[in-house]
Amino acid sequence: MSNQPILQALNLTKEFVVPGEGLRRHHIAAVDQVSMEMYEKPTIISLVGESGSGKTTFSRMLLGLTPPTDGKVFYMGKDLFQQKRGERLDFYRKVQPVFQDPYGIYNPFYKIERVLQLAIKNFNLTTNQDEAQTMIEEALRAVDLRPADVIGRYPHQLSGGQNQRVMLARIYLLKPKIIIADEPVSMIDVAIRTLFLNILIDFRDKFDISCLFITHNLSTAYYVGGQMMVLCFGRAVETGVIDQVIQKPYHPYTQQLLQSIPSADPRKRWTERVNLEYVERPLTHDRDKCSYVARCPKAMPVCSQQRPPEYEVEPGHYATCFLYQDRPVHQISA
Amino acid sequence: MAEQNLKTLLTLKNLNIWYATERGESKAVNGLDLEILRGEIFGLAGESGCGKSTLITGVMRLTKLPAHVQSGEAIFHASRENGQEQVVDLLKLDPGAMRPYRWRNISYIPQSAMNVLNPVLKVEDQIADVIRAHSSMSKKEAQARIGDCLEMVGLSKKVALMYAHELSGGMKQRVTIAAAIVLKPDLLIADEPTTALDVNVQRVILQELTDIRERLGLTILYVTHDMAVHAQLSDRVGIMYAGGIMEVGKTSDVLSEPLHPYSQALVEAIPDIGGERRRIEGLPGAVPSPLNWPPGCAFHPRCKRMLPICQEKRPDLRELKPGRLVACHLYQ
Repeated sequence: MSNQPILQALNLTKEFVVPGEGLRRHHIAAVDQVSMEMYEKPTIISLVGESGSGKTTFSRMLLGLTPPTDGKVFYMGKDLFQQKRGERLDFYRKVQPVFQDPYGIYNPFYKIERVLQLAIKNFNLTTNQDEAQTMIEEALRAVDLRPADVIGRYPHQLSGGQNQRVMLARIYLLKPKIIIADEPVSMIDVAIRTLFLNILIDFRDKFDISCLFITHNLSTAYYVGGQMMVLCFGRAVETGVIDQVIQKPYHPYTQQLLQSIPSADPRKRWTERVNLEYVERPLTHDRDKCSYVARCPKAMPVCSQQRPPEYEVEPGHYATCFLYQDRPVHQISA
Repeated sequence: MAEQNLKTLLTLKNLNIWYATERGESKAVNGLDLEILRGEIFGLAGESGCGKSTLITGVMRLTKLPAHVQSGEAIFHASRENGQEQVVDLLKLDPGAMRPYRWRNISYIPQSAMNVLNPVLKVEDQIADVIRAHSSMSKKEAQARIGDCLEMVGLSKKVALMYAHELSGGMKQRVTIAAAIVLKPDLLIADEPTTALDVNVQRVILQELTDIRERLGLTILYVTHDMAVHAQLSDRVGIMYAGGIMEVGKTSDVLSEPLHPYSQALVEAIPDIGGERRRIEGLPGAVPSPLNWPPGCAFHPRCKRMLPICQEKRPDLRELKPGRLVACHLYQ
């Protein structure tokens, strides 16, 4: 990986202020020093974590929608938040979002094809009306939609799965380098879900489009393959090739998460009982300890005294956990 | 649990619940037959739009216009205090006459526990409301009962004195479960209670529902599209499509050897985490509109094994082997 990353997050941190008791205010780090790179080589990186782990905040910073409290986002080597709006045009074209709510992103007063027409107009794909129409139809077919079913209808007349695929048709038109998809399948049906995921996989294989795939569902992450990063209370606790992480999770949080996935085999029902003590998210900005220490069954004294660094537990597989302090520390630089 | 000789708790016969729309009747529940046995956990599976929620609201007599029960029966065997069983058709009851059955015989856990708790009442007072309205328990008894139920769902008794905003999503969902079991109903209907929760919390809730069934001997109708949850929890599953039941059987049988082509597609689409990575093609086409179900078998336009008769005649739900029902012409 000698070449420059297309998109890079370097120690990204976002703090929010939340009201505490009385007049006190607390700072919480929704995202706490998370780094990630996406290179020219097409790949899918799954960002996995519970609700409140900072997945969406992280993706909004990568999209340039939320400025970070600390850390930087680089697009083609340039600091995104130092650029002016006009300088970001290339970024807006090459990094495309897909959001969670398939109804919320459309203006209900306009017919659905408007988002495709606007994409063609704003990015000057063509000025010829007929050509634009052909492009729209081709894009819809590429995502398994029949143009006749979709064109001329309003968002509320289509199913969630259809709306969500129109967003993919828009991506097909623009052929970006990177898609940032925030829980794109959590609101659509199982049967349509695999169709959607297959399209993401095809985009990677046929058009070299990378994807940051944000999900709380480990099985969909596994299905798309590629890399995985596990977030826990705003911090990256484990990173690596998804097959390796799932085969052999190192961080106790990842281990616990994997054990909680229901197996679809009725012969493999859970036999062990679990107890889940509810743990308040660490409110005061308690940075000098592990984010998972309160729930960790393997916690050691050092875990509440220091913040664990990322250890390289196996080549290309990192775990932020003191259990592996005999392994080399992973250094991150710009 | 003993699987044989379970008595029937609820029988739905040719149930039709339709929505009146400008463009005609939308047949959300369309000639549905189903039998639920006392003491079992019955899993109802199906995609969104297949009529699961309409069915539940119908059984609870909460159907609101434009939806209306067009026809059908819902024969319910309610236990009475003297230990006798009272057989009643829920759909024939006057609206007011349903009231004694709510909470005492049939209770409900909603999908969005986040939104059902009253933000200005303590947990205890909300559950006490239920008890006061539907039983003659004294205040002291009620308090003890609430504490017991909270402990049964793995919460501390202290939660009784807390307000909704002090609880996490998983705790709120457990409070709604505690409220639902406080009068020891015969039937507990759970409509996707864990979809909004994280997997580790989901696991605990499923574990608690299993415990509750063992301890109180109640029957649970658990609705979700997640087949893996059914695999973990249910004794039997029913696969619903286009307002009707396509297949019913023991969970292990249906998941290991689905018979209906729709169940086969659903089981095929379950992602196998950690296993061999294979491409799942999913089902072609979209769920048809309830305004205009396809003639014959509603699944035929998406079915890989369609026969000529499938376009003409709707297959009946028939018992193929003991306890295994399929509505498909391939097996008639």
